[in-house]
Amino acid sequence: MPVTVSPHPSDCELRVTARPIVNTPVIDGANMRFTSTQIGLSGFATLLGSPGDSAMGFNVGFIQAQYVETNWCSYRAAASADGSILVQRGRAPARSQRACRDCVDGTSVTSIFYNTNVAFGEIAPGNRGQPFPQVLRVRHFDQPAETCPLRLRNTLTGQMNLLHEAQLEFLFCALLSVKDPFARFRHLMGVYWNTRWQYTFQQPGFRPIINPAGTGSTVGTPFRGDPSDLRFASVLTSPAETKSCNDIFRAAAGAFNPGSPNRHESRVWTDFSVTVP
Amino acid sequence: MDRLQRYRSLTIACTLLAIIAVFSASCSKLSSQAAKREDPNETILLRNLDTPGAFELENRGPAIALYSEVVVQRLENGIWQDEVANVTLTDFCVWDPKPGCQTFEHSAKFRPVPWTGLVCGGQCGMTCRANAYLGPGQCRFVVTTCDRKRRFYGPTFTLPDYEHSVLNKKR
Repeated sequence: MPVTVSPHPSDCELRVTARPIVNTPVIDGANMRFTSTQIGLSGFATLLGSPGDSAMGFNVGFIQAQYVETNWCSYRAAASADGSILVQRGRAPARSQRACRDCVDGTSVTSIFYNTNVAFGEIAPGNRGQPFPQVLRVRHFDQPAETCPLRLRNTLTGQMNLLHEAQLEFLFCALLSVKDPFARFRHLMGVYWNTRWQYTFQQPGFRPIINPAGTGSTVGTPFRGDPSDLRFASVLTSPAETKSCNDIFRAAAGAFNPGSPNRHESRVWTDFSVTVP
Repeated sequence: MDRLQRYRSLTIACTLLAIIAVFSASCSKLSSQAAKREDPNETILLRNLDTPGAFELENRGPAIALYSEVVVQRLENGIWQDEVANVTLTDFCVWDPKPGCQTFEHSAKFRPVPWTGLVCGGQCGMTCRANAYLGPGQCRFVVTTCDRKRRFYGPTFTLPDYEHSVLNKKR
């Protein structure tokens, strides 16, 4: 079946409608919770075709990759003799060092698109019987977040160690893409964005002290065309990806378990190197 | 001619049967949803609180074991759809929550941590890279017995758009 319908390479738009603002971490039950406000994007793509062509099977939507994750938490007891702990959730073996494809819970990572539930407006199907050009509008929402336990028991000293410092960085690229009926993708536009937190916590009460250099958010200028960024190009549409970023980083919580190679304990207060796994 | 009349009769009969089938299916779906919402003798009563997403559970019957995962439904084109929302019957956020069952004694009242409308970490903090917000829309909570055989439906509440939600307030 010849397909003459195709996306217009330049008659498209990607607009930033909301920039994330990083919140101060808050205590949430037994955890410290790191959140931000939303990133919002809106966009459209234009499908070209001839009279009699059908746009059925085409979809416009967002694809998102996360290409950098920094994720460590350090813990200290009240006295040096009660020990300290570093937990590295962002490095192997807790997680692989490569990028991942980001899909919401409820959307399979094999669907490629970020969110295939049409009720959210993240995906727009081409219409059969509608004249060309067809303008398909979509929007994108994300609000990444993370938690760290407030307390861990140091297995060397037997004492409870309290959350002392955390650094979290999530770097993403979101793409406005068109999928044709043969499951081929064309990336029309994209934007880089990130959220970052670096805080120390003072006792009593885990009072958060910001490190301004490590805290904030950035949204880049939308760009046109296929991204050539080798840090994540291979995961954008690969059918080999079986786990979403949510799946991968939830599994990385195993780094907190005693005996994990990503958990480093000391009998005294230690300034751990955060470059270790 | 006789053949044509028989063909027409058959077509009309099939159309009527199809209409009756669709009509009765819609009616039974609607009536069962209405019955579930309006049963005054329901053992478990779900009551919405002032903030959208906050609710209270009351057991008006004998002690009952409920499954910890709460279903969030959203009204889409007149049909209640189950959504992924990661809401549980918890009043304290723990580090490593495990799904299970919880027994509520007769007349017990319980207020879970309110839900903000986020699909991921909307109640207790979670590891979320991708996320979605379910508003604006009409939603309701549904709790189930431990064996998942009975469902108790809460009243409808309006989840506002993101700009008017608790999430949009700078902390």
